[in-house]
Amino acid sequence: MKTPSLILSLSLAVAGCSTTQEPASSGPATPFGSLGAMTTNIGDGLYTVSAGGARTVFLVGDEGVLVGDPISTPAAEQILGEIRKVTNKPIRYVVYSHSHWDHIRGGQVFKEEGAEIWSQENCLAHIYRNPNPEVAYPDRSYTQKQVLDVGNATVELLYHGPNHSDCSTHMYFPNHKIVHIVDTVQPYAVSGAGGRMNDSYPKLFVDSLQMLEDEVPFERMIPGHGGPIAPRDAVINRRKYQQALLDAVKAEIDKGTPFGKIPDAVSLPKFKDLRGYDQYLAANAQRILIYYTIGW
Amino acid sequence: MRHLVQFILAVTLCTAVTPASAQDVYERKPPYMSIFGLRGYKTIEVEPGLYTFRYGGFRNIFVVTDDGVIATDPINPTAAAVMREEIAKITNQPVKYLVYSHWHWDHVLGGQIFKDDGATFVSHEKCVDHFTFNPHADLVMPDETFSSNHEIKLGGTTLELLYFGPNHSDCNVVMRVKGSKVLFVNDLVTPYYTGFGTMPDYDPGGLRDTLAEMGKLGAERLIGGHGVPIAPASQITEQYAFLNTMLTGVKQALDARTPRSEILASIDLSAYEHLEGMEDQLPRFMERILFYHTMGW
Repeated sequence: MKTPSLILSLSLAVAGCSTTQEPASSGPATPFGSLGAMTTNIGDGLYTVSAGGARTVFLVGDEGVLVGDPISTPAAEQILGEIRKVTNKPIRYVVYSHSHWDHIRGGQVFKEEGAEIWSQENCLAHIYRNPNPEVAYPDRSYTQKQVLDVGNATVELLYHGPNHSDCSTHMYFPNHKIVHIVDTVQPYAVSGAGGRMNDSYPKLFVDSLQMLEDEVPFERMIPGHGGPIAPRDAVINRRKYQQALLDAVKAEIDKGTPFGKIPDAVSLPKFKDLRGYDQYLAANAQRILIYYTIGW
Repeated sequence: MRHLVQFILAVTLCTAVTPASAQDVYERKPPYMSIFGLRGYKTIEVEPGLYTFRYGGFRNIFVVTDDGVIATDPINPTAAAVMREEIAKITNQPVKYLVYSHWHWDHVLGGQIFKDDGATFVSHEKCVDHFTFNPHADLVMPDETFSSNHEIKLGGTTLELLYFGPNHSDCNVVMRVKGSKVLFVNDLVTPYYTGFGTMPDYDPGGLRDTLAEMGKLGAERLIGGHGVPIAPASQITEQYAFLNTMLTGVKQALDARTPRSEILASIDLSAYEHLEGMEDQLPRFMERILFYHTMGW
């Protein structure tokens, strides 16, 4: 960590996007969240790193290295340090998981190593509209699918439509049957960011995860906070929770429950063990109510 | 002159449509009035040919000309049917145009009865993306779109549609009858309200820029999409000041490493205590500004 204000903004970002203010599960805990990078070797060249309050991945191939989110400038420097403990191969690619600043600051660190930055094309509008001096502009973008190869090691960048954002990439590692999903699925947790993810797409969210399940034979997932790894069931569970939430709020509307009373009227006992259920269920339901009211 | 005749006829024949009186211009929000708690419906003539129709907590405008009516947001099928009756009390002319102020479902559903009458539907082009993405059975798709400012001319009257970029949504327009000093500002300014705390496609910085531009239009009065019928244009200035206070206050609190739970208390909002929503919407409003500053949306 370089400056106190960065520490604060990171801790806020964690509070924003994960469902609790607990530090990430790996890395030393501090009052400001997880400091210092903690790397987990998944095997066959795939690693996941927890740094700066978020989680990213890197893949080492015969010809170079591909990195997921840079997270922040100090986190990116830590991630680069973790990579250099494993390999001296060039950093070929950085892939932004989506456009939110708590994940994509610090790309310059890898650009200076020669990396090309990729994102799904819808992110460009967000990044250009709200420039952040710490966010490097993507060099390349894709629409539906892009395969990147670092030498006998590939990743598929897959766009399954709007979910947590309208430009989230599912990074699929076919050799490992692992998908890296940032923020759309926090394993066995309710919806984050104070429960009211403002630019999420509550209904298309379900379609997006269903498409991922239908089209991609992943067995495990790596999330964008906490972690490091969860079974396929975590994705299915999150989709089912979202659908149950949509159904429950719609049922209250159809019953004629006054709008102001709907968030507290919703109860989903089947999901009561999800992290954040007691704290955020009403806020989640309120967000769904807005969806049914205005269409977003 | 024909406006005047229509006006007198309307007043004489039908007491449901009333001309604006001094008490329809609200210099402040009456303490008994809850912005979303209004019931029933009411049509008021704001100035000759310009009407505002409220159904429950939702409000629009329509413009009556010698050659037809320009209606706006149909709100929902029930409201649209009532509005059609209200218009028929004023004029025999059909609705020729129906203009969407933006794309949110709470304002734009129920246009089919006007479509059946032959109305041409108009919106900013970016609304179409949302309508396509989020289809709704009660929504009529626009026939005509535009990308920047636009004018609708009918019967010697021009309705200006002014586009300022992303703000409350990315396809809101301000409407003004050319030559009038009254603006229809649906959801860009809701008079005497903090704004709703949970606003998905809301761009706080963009709205601040839009309010600054709206302040330069030389308007004297405005009509919002919710709440009081008519408010003074000073509501634009107040909303700008409130939003700017929130944006700069949250930023300063972040820079000063203020704990999240103390950010709201660190901002001096004493000038805005009269706004509805200060108790129930403000914490979420603050959270929204916080995410804007920390996540970039």
